[in-house]
Amino acid sequence: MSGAGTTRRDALKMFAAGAATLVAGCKPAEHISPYRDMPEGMVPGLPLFYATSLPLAGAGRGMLIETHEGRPTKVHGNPLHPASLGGTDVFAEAAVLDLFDPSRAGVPLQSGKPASWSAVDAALGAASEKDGAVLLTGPVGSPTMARQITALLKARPGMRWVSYGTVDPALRLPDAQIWPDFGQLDAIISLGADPLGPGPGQMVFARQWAGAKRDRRAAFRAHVFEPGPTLTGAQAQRRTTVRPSELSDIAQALLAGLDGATPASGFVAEAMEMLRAAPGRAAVFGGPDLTGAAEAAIMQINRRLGAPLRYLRPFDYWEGLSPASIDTLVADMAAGRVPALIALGANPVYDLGGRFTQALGGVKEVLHFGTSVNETATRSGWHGPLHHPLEDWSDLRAIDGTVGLVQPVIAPLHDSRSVHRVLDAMTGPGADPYAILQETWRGHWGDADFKDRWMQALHDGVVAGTGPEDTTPKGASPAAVPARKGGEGIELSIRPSPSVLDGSFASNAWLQECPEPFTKQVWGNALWLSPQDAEGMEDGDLVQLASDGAEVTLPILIVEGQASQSGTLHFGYGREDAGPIGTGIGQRVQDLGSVATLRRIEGREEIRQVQTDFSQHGRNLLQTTQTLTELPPRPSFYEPREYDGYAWGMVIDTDACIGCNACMIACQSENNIPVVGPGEIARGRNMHWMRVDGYTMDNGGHGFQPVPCMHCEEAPCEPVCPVEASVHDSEGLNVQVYNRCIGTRFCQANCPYKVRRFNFYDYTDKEAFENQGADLLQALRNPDVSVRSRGVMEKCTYCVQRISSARRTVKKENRAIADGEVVTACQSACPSEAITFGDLNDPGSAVTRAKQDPRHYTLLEHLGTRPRTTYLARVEPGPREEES
Amino acid sequence: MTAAARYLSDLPDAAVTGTVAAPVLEQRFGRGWWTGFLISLALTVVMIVSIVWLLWKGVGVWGVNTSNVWGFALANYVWWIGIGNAGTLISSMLLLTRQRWRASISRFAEAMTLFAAAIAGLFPIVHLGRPWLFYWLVPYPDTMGVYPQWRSPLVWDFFAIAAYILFSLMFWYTGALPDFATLRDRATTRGRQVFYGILALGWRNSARHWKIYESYYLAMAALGVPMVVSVHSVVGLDFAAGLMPGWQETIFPPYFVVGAMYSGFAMVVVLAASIRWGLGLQALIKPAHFDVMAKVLLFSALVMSLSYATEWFFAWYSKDQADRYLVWWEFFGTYGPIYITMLACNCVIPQLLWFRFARRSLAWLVPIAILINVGMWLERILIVVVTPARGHLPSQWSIFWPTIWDWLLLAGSLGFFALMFFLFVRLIPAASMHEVKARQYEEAQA
Repeated sequence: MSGAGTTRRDALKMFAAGAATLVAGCKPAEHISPYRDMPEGMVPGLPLFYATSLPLAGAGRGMLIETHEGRPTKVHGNPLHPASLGGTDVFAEAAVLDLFDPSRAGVPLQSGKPASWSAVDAALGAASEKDGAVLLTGPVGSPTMARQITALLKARPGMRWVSYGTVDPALRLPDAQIWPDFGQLDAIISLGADPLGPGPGQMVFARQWAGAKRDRRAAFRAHVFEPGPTLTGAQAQRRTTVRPSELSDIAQALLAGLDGATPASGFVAEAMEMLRAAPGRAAVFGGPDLTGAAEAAIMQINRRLGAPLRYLRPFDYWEGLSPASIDTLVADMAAGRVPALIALGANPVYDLGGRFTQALGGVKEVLHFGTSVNETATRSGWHGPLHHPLEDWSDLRAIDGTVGLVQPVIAPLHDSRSVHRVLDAMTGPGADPYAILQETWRGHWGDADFKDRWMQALHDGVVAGTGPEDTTPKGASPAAVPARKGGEGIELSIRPSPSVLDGSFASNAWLQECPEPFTKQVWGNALWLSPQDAEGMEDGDLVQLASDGAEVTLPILIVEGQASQSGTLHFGYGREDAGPIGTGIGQRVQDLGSVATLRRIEGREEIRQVQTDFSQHGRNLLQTTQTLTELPPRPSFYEPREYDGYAWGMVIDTDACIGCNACMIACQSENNIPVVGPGEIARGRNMHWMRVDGYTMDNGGHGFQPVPCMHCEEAPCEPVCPVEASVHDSEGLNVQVYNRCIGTRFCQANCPYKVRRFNFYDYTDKEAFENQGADLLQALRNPDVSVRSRGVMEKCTYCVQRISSARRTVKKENRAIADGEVVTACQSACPSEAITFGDLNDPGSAVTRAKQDPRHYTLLEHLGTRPRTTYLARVEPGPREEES
Repeated sequence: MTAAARYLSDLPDAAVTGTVAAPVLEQRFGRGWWTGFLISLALTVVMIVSIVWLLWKGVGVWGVNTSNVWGFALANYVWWIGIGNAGTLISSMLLLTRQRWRASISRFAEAMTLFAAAIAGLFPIVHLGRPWLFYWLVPYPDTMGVYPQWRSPLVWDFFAIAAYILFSLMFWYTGALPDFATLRDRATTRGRQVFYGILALGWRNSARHWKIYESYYLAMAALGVPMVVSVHSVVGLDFAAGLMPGWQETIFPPYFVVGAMYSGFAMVVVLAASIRWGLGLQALIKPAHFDVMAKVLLFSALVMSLSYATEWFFAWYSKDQADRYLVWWEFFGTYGPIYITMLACNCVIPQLLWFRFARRSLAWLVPIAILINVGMWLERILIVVVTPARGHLPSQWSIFWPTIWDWLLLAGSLGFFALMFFLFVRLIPAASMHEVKARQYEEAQA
């Protein structure tokens, strides 16, 4: 090497300089520890669990997050947390998909173009200083956030704080949370209340309801008056369909009945009778469709009955801090009195609709902070991405008042910030959320034993010393909610979607594909009409609803159990900016009033449903204690198989099942089940290993039957597989060997339960729906479960990976697997503990005991498949559900 | 003159040879042949494209769904294998039972069997989720020690089809050996002499050759009968071994054999009419042939009707709700109109064959035969899709609707079948010259 050109030395120097530049160009934001200093307690290959709280409509639900080598993959309930009690709901189970959502906001934006956080900070600081600036949030359940807002309002006297909610917890009064003592409650009259429905109270109420039913089967009764089917109505022993406007009259009639008046209607008389028969052990629950007067009447009834109810301080009530009303804000905005609006974690443009969006034109400076670039973000000058709760430090109050800490289980995936840091940045340097959070609790606990209490709270997921605080509700003022307008048209009951709640989960593909419990509709919403009102129409026919100047066109679904001249709608759909998954799914219905005119219009829209026939066709599939018949044992040519070791089995209590779908999403998360998208659903394809069948019962009620694989002893799928991909293992599991499967689909053709699922396309990767094949989502997968390729059959495995894990553990400890040591994903998710799993060879196991229950039965027993999964019949006291 | 005489030509032996050999040797194929050839070639391209697309994307391109997992692929398979039944039946069964009339139609009927069975064999392979692994059904010495699962009807099926295709090929080829020799001897160009010479395998028309040939051919025929019965019984078992209402029926194996005979003979009628017209074989394929085949069709129609009625009866008699509902739904459910059409095509319309005019007039017989083929195809479709559409659990009921790729593959397979036939008539004597002459000689001696 000589002469001109680069010498070897120079080349190396340049290479080194280039490498250094590259390294410097990266974002070594924080100190990196080499992996030889392993996180405490970590063993590669074994999951670690962290306790945290996840918000739903602002309220906390305590969860345990399973992480594999630093990747959160699964959400479990936290048994210590009073709003979870170990169960989960669909939203909690799907939180990990939200975290890894490929469409999440990645960087700050200024007018849609990438910007830096320092620019955002500057704009935020300036905006907050403006006189009349408004901080807009959802319900605040975080003590730290409340503390920060208090401090902020003090530092910025010209600023106002406005908060609005989209979904109230069930049994929520304006100034109190009703907390029933289900242990003392024998008779429940519900006037449109849905404590078992979607919301932050679902898990705790479901657990307690199921417990009351199980423990006091003879005494516990519920009579639900409601316009359209709800999960609570499906669980009630008696159900009466009434129009929403009639609910308030019933409340008044019940009150009058207490005074000795004779109720006009037989159903009210019956309800009255129920209340009288259980003195001190009865309560009336009011729902969202009641007038203020009716709510006041209900409070009075409960007081006079001596109902075992507590009134708790609401989770979003903070001493000395009261948000301004959203209506005033909209008026001020329209009038140009709001110079700057800072929307923090809220999406008012979608939630509040046209009136807010119009008024937004009068605001000069709009800043939006949220986890996704939603409708509000695209209309804001600035957008700052927020951490997902699984990336953030925080604290959250549950609906009963218990506080749980929120801890990050993964380093932030994007250039996002903590909501606490954003609040802090308005007045200060924007401190670390960890420090801000500790400051809150140092204020409560002092310095003395702070570290121990902190570690304990982090470990438990519950802050000791916090909990329910009683309050005395002022009672609703009769004028608070005026009576519903009568008039032409049908009365509407507009409820949060059981799949996407208020639309905040619209970009979550698991939830979009999670069926609505009664109609099994996925990927959209529809208007529910009674068969009488829908005369001459079919499912999917388009109608136009008009009320209060709003018009919505959407398809109808004919629903048995919908009151005539009323309709049920689910909001949370019709998002305009919800990423590739949620945008344009269904219709936005929030602007409709309580009464709407219905006009049939030309055209149809295909409704995506995973079940279309809800009749049992006399087959007695979902049995009740009334229909239960015992078949004589069937003769067989085969010797019964013997199992020396474990014999796994499952019993599902259809009486306890509330139909919430938590098991489905838990299964999806645990077993790496792909979504297929609306097009594939329309083709009749879906991948859920665990499904919840819904059936109309003989007496008109609606029952739920979760159906995982039955793991038959004489499995029809096994002998038909030509390559022995469907085989029986030594513990009685019917297992599917994916890499042996060539995809003849004979097993599914021959499965009477149709529990097998086929990869018609490469759903997990190349043919994934929208962005569901993104690299980022690989991090979400459970490393203990194979990801299946195209052309392969798959199905429920009884979570065989958990059985294997338990087997490895006990082998090391030289003992047998104890009862309850293996918990399937569906079982652990179930908020009402409807699923029992265990070893049938253990005479003392819970599942063996369940199999001896008089309510025990086998689905399609006459086929002789001898399933390992069996059921407990529904308990039905007699006929119910009539029109009043 | 014996009864068999009406099936024989009035031509002298040389004229028989001339009639059959001339089209092959002189290659006078006009515009009609080329049009048909090009259309079927185009459809074959459609078949190839739809298979490539299927392999590229996955079986999701078809209308199959979670409950209704098989759809067109298996229905087409059952239909094609049914078409492939008649050739062997004509050759073996009729040979063994000394039905002399088979002589003029056996050759192309066997060719039909071969082509149809080959196409049928294609469907179970392409319908797999991972078709490239189809060889896992073969019991080869795998290093992992894995083996096929012998209880599965699909494994039986694999062997049945493979054996049937091999058998059909051998039977058809060896049956044509003397005729290849004839073509070799009559060929005027060197190329044809070599081509047919190789095919003739040194046939010299010696008495010893004939002796060996006759005993071999008879033995093959004896093998053929159980083969043809077994292959269609196993196809029936693909369904009957299941646990689903509408499939779990002991009548399926014989019912599938008869069904196959039915559609196979219907196809032979159509092809016989076409070849007779196309190659000018009116002297060899006579109205009497059509008459006797029509009688076979009529008999099959009666057996099929009885089978359907048996299905209905046993559904009622079983008291099984799923079975009873299924039968009700066949008539009145989503596919009801298709089911009624199927019954009309398979049971009602063939009753015309009671009448002599319908049996002897091609203007009647050919449309009836085509309708029978349509009806039998509908029957296969219904067998495959009705049961999963209305299985044991109402929650999982789902309807199968075909996609464009389902139709294209079906159309393509028909085109491929036609293509093979167009090539067949150009290269191979379409009727068995030596056999017709033998029958004529026997007749003259009688």
